[in-house]
Amino acid sequence: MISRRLKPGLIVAVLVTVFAALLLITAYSYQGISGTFPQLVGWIFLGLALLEVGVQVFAARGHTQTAKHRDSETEGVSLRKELKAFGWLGILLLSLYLIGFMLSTPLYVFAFLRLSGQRSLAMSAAISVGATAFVYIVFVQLLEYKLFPGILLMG
Amino acid sequence: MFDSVFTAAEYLTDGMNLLFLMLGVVVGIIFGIIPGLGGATAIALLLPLTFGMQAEQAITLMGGVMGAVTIGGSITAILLNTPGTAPNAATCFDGYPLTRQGKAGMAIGAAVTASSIGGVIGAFILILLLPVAKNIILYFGPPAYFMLAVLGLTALTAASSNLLRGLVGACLGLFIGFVGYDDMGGATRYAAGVDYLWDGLSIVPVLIGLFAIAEMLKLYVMGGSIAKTGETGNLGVSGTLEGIKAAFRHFKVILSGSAIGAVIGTVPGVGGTVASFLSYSFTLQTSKDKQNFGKGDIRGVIAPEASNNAKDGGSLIPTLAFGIPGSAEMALFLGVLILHGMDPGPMLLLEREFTIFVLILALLAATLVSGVIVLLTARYLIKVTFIDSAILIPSVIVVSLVGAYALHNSIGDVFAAAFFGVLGYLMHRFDYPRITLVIALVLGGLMERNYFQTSLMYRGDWSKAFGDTPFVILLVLAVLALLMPVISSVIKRKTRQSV
Repeated sequence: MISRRLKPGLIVAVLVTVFAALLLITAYSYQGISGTFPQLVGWIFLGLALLEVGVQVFAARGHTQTAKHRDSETEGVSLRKELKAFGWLGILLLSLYLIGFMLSTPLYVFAFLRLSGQRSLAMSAAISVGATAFVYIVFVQLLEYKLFPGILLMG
Repeated sequence: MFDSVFTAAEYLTDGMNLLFLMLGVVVGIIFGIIPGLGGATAIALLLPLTFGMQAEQAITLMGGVMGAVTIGGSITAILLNTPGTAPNAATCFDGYPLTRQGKAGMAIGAAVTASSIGGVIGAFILILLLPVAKNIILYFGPPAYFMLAVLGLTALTAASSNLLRGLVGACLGLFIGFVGYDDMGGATRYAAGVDYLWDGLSIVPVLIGLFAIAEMLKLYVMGGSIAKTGETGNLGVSGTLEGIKAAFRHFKVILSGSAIGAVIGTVPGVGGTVASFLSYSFTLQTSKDKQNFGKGDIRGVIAPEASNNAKDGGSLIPTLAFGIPGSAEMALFLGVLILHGMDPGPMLLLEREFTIFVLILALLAATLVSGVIVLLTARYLIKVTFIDSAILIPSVIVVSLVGAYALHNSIGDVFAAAFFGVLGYLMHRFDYPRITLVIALVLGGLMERNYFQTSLMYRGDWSKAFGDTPFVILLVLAVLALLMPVISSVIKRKTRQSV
């Protein structure tokens, strides 16, 4: 049970190690002083990441208290919910890119409240209008920022 | 020095600046009250609003937030047994029992008074110690600056929840700092052929992502820590005057709490939570009548509240004098300084005395003003904690992304903020401290620059650096900081064995 739950920690540690190795290899492609400091940090990073892999492997065997710590931490976190959270963020990014801030804000807030928050139509509409008004008044009117219009609406 | 103090005071009383201060105070109180948000999120969200401001106006706004946030946090600790910010946790021990006895007003009165006086004492300690820090800085050369950055990283890493992962996070932060064109070597590093990365990653989207967006993702996944239970209707907050009087009756507790807070605050990474618990236990240990502690002793509210606001003054010493932020809030504050063209580090103290006094006075004013606001409006403010997280999440994410875009009018910054939001969430999820990444990102430039200057000075022979006294002292401190978790676990084990 414990080793099954520890797997994410070990996977993360391995991924970090691979990433550290890639960064270190890349550091050697920079000529002169541009590469010196990244190389130094890269070796330290790789060493630490490998140490973390070792700690995770050791913990998987139940030799350290990390196991218990990890257990309590991952408890109650649902992968589905995490993917949903990232999905909502992804939808917002896509919508911002396509139709810009002023259209995305009300649509996103409204959709989030209706679909994820299960709020009433009137409440969702009121809050999405409020959020859009806040963005418009503060950023467009007061701070005079020109917000991204979206690639579909770019003149 | 006094000229700067008076000019700063005059500056703060100007209408517009006063408005920024008040805005900071109000935001600070609200973010302090809402459990799980706190000062770091407030600063990350307000960052974009400061783009068009003068540096001092931005600092006034942030000073308002930092001065008010812990006072706000004490309200939920007392009324709902839920600390608004981590340092307010110790206030729950006696604050909530007082509420259950119908003495919530008294507890709030005492907490706000202790917190305000603590903030004032912390600010005065800061004013007194800054000239000393200034003299120390003059002895520093490139080797010492390099080691100072190393110390900043190691001290915070050692204080983080996991030493090894803290160091991994720090290395990651350094690499994020390497991205883009390198002034010294003339190469473009880690840009992966992406045009957006050629100029390097701006610190603002990184901070917005790691703190504001990641917190919202956390709130979505974990269900949030916004108060879900408790009745606001029955919370009587009368008797605040009695609480104020009680605070003055136990002035010694305020003084000891403030001293503990200011001293602990100067140690990077230790922070307000340790300070308030230490202050609470010190008061408990030194009190003759201890039987009421934990059951609603007013001293149990005064002690932690005095310390957790006094620590702000203390933690600004390493932040301003050496560029070593003592907490996530201070790291974000350094982000504000960078955004406004100020390099964190020793030169800041030497070149921007006026700006620093604006910050100190803003902090001072914020603690006092927020105290008054909280005393007058506590029973209404508590309702903020019942804001539905379904409303909070999309609104905060949208405002965060608008803010990320606004700095350079770059949609790339929006994607960067979202990326760091996910990274920040994953770091939290797998217990990799975010704070060490941010500090490495902030200190990376200083570190690399001084690494090269030292290498040039000693022609690559770093053993010569051992002739530099500040370098050696800082190196010893950095090693001690790294060994601290090991030493403390050995001490704990020995103590357990002897028991």
